[in-house]
Amino acid sequence: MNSHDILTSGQKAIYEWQIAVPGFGESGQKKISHSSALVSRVGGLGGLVAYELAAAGIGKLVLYHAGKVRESDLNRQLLMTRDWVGKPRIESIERRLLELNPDLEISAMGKNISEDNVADAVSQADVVVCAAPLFSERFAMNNEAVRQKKPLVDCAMYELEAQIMSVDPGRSACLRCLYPEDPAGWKRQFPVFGAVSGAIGCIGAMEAIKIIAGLGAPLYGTMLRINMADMTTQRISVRRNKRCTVCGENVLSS
Amino acid sequence: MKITVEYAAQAKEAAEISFETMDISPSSSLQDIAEAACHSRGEKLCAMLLDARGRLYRSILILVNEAQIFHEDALELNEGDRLMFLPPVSGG
Repeated sequence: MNSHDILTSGQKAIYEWQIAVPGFGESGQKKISHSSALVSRVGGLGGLVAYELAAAGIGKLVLYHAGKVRESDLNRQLLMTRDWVGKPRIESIERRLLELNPDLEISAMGKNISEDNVADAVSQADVVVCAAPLFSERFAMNNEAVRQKKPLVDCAMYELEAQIMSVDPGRSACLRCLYPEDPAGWKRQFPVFGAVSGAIGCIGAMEAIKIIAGLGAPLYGTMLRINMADMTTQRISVRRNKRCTVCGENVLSS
Repeated sequence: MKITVEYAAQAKEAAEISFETMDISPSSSLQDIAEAACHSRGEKLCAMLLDARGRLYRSILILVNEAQIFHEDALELNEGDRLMFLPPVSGG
């Protein structure tokens, strides 16, 4: 029996309430404890993904987030603190996560995902959670996750709307299946509440836990949309595009 | 034939409404409906939906009722259907 086969008494005490979830149990907790997730970026949305995964006892987080904390981050980026305004965001992120879970292994990079680093970032993770604002980063994570056959959770938000879907590479729709062309006319800054980004971040963390532990039914082939203005939800059926330039038949079979 | 055209995310901001009822011909294409929406809601929505040649951007996700459709799909709408223009949405 190696260390992967047992939970310590400390782990059992901390994770007792989730170990009690039917279908999860100690075996699910062991999987979580020995798994890793890439989360980028780690702001209003990804920060909550990372925080919930840290709370759930994930073994390792691979985090990419550039820049320094701004006052305008503080309504939603809950891993940033006022005393850290003007200082590197990634330091605040790492500090806050380790306060919550000192057992957590973190690979923290003070840069954003790019074509130059995405292959290394994805290779370190069992699951990828895309929470970045720029589509160049989102498509880079999507493309590389598909190439390395790593599951991906795609989270997004706008104003009081949020949406999420998961990607099982080669089996369910990827981000490029939905958006064959780069977005046109899209604006970088948009209105949003922290409660909206936090809510969809928590759902994203739950998706990652489900995928790692084999629990429930991930949102493969389904986009969940939530309109928090009137609290309506939609489950949208999304399809693989056979002509997709990332996961289409000609690409994956070549 | 009456359908409901819905505008989500940045399209909602551009259209300044979240939905409207539209009377269309049963043979209308997706491009026809995009142009009708553009005519109905004005310049800001036009810039969101249509490129310089007036062609619907392929980056706009189209939902009919609860399902995605591809732009190249033959559009088959029925009275009372809901068609949504959903531009890409991101994190941050």
